[in-house]
Amino acid sequence: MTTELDSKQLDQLKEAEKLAFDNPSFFEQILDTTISICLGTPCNEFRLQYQCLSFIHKAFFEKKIGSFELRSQQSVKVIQLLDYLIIRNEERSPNYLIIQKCIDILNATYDLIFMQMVQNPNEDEWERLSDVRDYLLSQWPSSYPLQPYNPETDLSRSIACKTSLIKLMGKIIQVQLPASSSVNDIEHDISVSMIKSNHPFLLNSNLSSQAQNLLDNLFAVLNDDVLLPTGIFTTIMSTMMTLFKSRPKFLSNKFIMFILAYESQLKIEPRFEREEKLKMKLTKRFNDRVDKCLISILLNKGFLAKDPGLRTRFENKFNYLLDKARDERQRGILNVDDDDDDPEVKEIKKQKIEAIQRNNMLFYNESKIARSHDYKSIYNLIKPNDQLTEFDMSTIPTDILVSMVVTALQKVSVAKLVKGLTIVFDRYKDLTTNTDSAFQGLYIPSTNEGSLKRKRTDDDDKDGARTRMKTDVGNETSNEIDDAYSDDELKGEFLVPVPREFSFNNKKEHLGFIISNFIKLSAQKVKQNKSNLDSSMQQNALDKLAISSWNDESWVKILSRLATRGLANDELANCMRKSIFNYFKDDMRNRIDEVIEWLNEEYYSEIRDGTGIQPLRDGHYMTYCAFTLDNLIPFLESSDRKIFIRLMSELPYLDKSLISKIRSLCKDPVRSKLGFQSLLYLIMFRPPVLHDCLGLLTDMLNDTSSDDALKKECSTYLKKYSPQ
Amino acid sequence: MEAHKVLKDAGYTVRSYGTGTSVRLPGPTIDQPNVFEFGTPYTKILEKLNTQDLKIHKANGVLDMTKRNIGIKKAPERWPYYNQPPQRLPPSEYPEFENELDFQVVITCEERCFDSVVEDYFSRNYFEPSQTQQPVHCFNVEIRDEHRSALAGAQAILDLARMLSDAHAKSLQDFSAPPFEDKIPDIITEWQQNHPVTPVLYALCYH
Repeated sequence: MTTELDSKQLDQLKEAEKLAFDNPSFFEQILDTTISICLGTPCNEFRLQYQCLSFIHKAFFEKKIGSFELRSQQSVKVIQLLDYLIIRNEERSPNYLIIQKCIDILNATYDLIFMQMVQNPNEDEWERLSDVRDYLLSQWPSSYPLQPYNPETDLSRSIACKTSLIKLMGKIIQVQLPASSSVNDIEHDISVSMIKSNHPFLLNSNLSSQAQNLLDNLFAVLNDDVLLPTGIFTTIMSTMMTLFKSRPKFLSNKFIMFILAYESQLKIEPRFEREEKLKMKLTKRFNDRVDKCLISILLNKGFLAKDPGLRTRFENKFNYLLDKARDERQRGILNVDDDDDDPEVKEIKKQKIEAIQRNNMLFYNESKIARSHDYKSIYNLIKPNDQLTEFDMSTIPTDILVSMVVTALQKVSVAKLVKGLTIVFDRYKDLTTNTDSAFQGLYIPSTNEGSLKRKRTDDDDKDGARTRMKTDVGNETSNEIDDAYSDDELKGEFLVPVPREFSFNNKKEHLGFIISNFIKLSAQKVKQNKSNLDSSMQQNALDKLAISSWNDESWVKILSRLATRGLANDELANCMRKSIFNYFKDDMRNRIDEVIEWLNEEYYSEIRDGTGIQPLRDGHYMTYCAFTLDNLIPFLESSDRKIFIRLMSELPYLDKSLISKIRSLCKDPVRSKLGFQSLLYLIMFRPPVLHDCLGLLTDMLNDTSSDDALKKECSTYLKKYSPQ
Repeated sequence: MEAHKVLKDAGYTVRSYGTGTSVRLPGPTIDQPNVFEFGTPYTKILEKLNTQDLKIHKANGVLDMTKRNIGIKKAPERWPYYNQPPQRLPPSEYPEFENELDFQVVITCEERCFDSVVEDYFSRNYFEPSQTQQPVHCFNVEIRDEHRSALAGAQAILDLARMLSDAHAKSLQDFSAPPFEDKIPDIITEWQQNHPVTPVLYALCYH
């Protein structure tokens, strides 16, 4: 509740804001004061903080401070504030509106700060900004800052923060990719092209590669099988339009082909929203309309003038969308029963749904954090607005309740029960160990942080056992250490019992825990160590280490080496291989780096004791290579060219059986280009498999089931690369 | 304009535009429409109508419509398309608006107009990359261009505006409630169920 003092402060802030915008010579002073008030305001004083942020938002995001120079000079000051509100308050249930404003402010200042760093390098401040940027980017496309439910539902949650984040990604991409032409208009095109080669810390190549990854990430979300909410879809499209102009060489083709290929009908509805048929139908209708508007712009503004063939394809798509919309109107907007009439569409969606269900997403509310301190929050796995959540189970007589529970336990699958119990376990654990959501500390610069100590709060005194964490500043006396631990004091001598030896099943179970812990590590962002230790160590062959500092791929290195060289028991090693493969299988496209790392290790460990370079036909390398291709190829899209060619080029060994798996791609009219491109790549750059590739082309040419187009394509390649 | 009137009467800050090249009203015969430039005051439009066959204009409702419009605003205006000469009233007519695109919500009444507006926003994203960060929620509520449909359509638009502004106000008051933008798909679905004959469109644009 706003107190009288708060409201007086709010009025003063509003007056200061007016003064700064009416008279920009006061801006610097008022900005400094506002930032220090915001930093000194506890996070639960939301309105005061919000008012401070609104001022900064108006100045930079809404450009109420018209002078580019003034905004640019002052931009670096917001880093400290963003660091405080986003990074330092990460664990303290951040306020949604505050976070949204912060993302917008970072978006509005990122290019300005970047320019300042180019002109006046300050590595510490840049590091701090990079941490904030990387933290926010790591949240995409989760429900941040809202607590998660499940990945598909979370796509439709926190839309405002997501759209702000997309715009921020657009800005980062724009700044970190080189400008197309010479920098004439600094205000509108700040980019890595401005970095001089002797800059102390800004490395053009690193920044560009991060930007390229971000761009790929946006396309990956667009190409994902799950239907995107219209707000997200249109925001990505709007961002792409901006980048289409400012950084055309990095995305033009991809963007244009995406617009042409987009088909909402082939997207699958988020798992827990499939029953909301009208909502899903409307989302598809809206996305199609946006696609139609983009096609119209490309057709009418001369983007396709140079390519009549492409223009015709766009005109056909445009007419198709018009017909589709007309049919939909004629059938009635509320008529949702006759969707997906086409059996082909049904089949494609069925396959996609099956692929997605492997992700083990079984409950709507899979959050590992309880939303409040009660049993309902701990055990609730269904939609929060489901009427069932209001039902009081204790009103059911015990015998009926018991038989309900027994029946449920008999019917539920083991996997589902385990998943549910694991979620409940995680919530308990979080509640009993995590920090309090109401942060009441003051901001202390990073060099002088307040210490964390456990202490009993008033609330705990009321309800008994629960202890919480609070952030305390300064020197607290030791008597505030939680006295709950006094129960654990050991009296007398105590001998630790000898542990029982693990049975094989125990070992298998614990190996499962180890694997899942390592896989969890894969999701964590690792800060790269910039020390020279790594390179200096590698110079001495005797000191060669696979992992001298932890990085994003270290986990897969450890797991794959454990599987190939670390486990004496074959069954356990195979169990580990299966787990690794199952993890990759869930999202093969985005985990291709790790897949390559792992298969290289399998290959190396197989051939290192032998003499030749050929792995065993039924060995682990060949088996899992085949599995990988079987699981990847059916789901490849034309846009996955890079990923697939990369896989085919970096797999250490290929033989006829593996190459023949490309046949299905070549035969698919929609993706045949991808198939032939990868064959062409192998022919040109992997001479050892040249004959196998030509063999496949010959087989397809002679295959009676091949159509004329396929035969023609095969014959073209054969004429060129095998004229005899 | 009926929707403009209804929304204005309900207390919303409103501006209205046409998306075509000129204002076309029925003329004395079917092949002689009255064509006016945007910005022509409604009083002048009325003067011209008064010089023509009043019986026809009374019968087709154009005369009443023009008189009603005089009470709403001075002249018809054209959507501020990117890079096209302005055909609108001076900013002093709209002190509540910071600029010509200062909208949180845009509602069109024909799919053709919706496409024009959305395409204009996308064009701005392309041509003015540094100026397009402010979100605007665009809707189309399909209304047939005749008097009775316009009355019903205006009420439907008012319903949508109320549902949106209530949800927005609630999200600012109750921080535990889902954020406003997350509720929009459900609001549209509920609204569509209540108005099955007016198919809706939606896009989140930026200017």
